[in-house]
Amino acid sequence: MKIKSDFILRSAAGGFTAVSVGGEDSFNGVVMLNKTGAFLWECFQSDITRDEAVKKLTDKYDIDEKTAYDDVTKFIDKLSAAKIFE
Amino acid sequence: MIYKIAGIPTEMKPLYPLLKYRCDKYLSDDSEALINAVCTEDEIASLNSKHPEESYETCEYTLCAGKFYRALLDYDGIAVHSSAVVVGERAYLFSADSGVGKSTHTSLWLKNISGAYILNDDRPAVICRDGKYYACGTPFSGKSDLSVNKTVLLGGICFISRGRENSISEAPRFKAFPELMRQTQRCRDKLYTEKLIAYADRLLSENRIYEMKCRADDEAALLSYNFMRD
Repeated sequence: MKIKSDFILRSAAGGFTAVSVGGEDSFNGVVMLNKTGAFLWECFQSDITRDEAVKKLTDKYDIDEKTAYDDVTKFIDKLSAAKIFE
Repeated sequence: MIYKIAGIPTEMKPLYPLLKYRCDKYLSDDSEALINAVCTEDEIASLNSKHPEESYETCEYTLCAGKFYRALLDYDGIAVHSSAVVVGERAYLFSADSGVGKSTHTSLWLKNISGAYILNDDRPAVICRDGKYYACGTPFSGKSDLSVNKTVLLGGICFISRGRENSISEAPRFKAFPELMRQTQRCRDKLYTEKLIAYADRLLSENRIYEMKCRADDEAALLSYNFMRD
């Protein structure tokens, strides 16, 4: 899985926001992320699998695999719903 | 022709009556424009071919509004898709997707609050000058021609949705940010978008921002008025 290239990630509103700069001019394409979400966003700039993302998350933060798996799954669901993966 | 919109000399050359009439009260005697919002017959025809259901004059109006608001960001301002109502020298903006009831809500302010008037019923400009934020009437006021050529201190922005009960609270910035991004002028340009994100973030930090669920009744208008006023 890989995030489309036409988004930019910036800090905003006390967290992070990913905003589309591609496609048709539109009011859509804004996603809010927390610190973990922003980290995963960077991970999915490359084409990686769910398990690889879980591994990156447990390497980065002091969390167990189950929590990391849930975080990654939530992240993937959120971005899939917004059609942000290639 | 040069018009002064949100205090900024802006050039437009209206070809059709809709834009011309809406702009009349913004005519200026400035000799030089800072914003170029001129659109050509070719651009109008091209938009019309994509949206044949829209007339040429509507296409011209839409194009010029887009050019103006895109350029406005360079002058510390943005469009906020909202109905802006003024009471006591403060402008209160009610923002939502089309059809939710922005204009209905502000029309209830007019009915219930003496001295209230509409500054712009669809897309007021919000500008920042010397650290203070203002809402401005612009010729781009949607279907109605409810616009007044005035600049008024911003009292607050309220994102509204329909509800069974009326309720209002301050909106957390994290929640308000995507709402504001949804209700302003976006474009595909990366630099523009980066600047817009920074502007929206600052606007939300430095102003009073609310969220409201409301019915279309007098109680809703009185609730938001009493909550949002100083």
